Amino acid sequence: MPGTTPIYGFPYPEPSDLVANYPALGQELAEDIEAVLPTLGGLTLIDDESFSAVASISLNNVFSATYQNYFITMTGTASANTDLVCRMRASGSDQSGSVYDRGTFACSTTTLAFYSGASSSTVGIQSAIYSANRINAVINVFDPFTASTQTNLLFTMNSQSYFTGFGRCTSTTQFDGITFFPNTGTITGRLRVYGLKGV
Amino acid sequence: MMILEKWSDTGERVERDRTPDEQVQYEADVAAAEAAASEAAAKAAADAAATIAAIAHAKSLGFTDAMIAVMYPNLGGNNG
Repeated sequence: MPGTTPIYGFPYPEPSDLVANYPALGQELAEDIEAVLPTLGGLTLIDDESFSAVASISLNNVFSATYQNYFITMTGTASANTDLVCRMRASGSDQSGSVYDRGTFACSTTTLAFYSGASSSTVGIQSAIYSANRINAVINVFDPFTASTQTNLLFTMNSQSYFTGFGRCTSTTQFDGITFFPNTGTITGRLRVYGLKGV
Repeated sequence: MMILEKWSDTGERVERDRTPDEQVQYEADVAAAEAAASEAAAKAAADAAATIAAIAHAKSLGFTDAMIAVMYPNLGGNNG
């Protein structure tokens, strides 16, 4: 007689069981695992997109009611020395207007600077991407899909220099997407978006 | 230059040109970035000039490079 695991109740054949006597056991186990996985805490990959020489990359329907907060990684290169910026997105359109605030610490091995901007038209993730250097960025997005709240971002990036800071969209629109783009030229790389379960 | 738009729920992926509205926004973004860069460069130049003037003034009062470096470390006081 098959047993079940103590925590999630996954079925399994006992040593004395003949598997042939329980032909549905494998499928039952697979379906139970599939049902449990989305309920577990941690990162859940929502989108994984590679891009080549694009002037911007927009993800639609990447934020939803399933998760409150998100974790984004971006790796890549730029065609020119420029800034990497982002805008929130709803129903296929970027949130334009002077609704973005930003504060960024930029440091190298010898210098430290702070850049800030209120009521800007974009959130500046990084004040300079140098084409000779890779982009390695992590961006946390908080409450994008929560109506009547601002969307907050925390980001860290390493390219020519090391950047860390915050961004905020003061519009309380329910956002389901995000756009990243360099101020000039194109970017090539990979973007991954994870939902944070239990966070 | 092409832009990439993707729908994460369906996997649909489109590389396309900007729409007229998007092109208008892009041109405004470029202008804003250029203005910000000019403003930053002007501030950097003004800060550098102010630093030079501050060091010159300190020296006119008889302070040496070493004294300036100790009292005002952020000035980078060996510009004499």
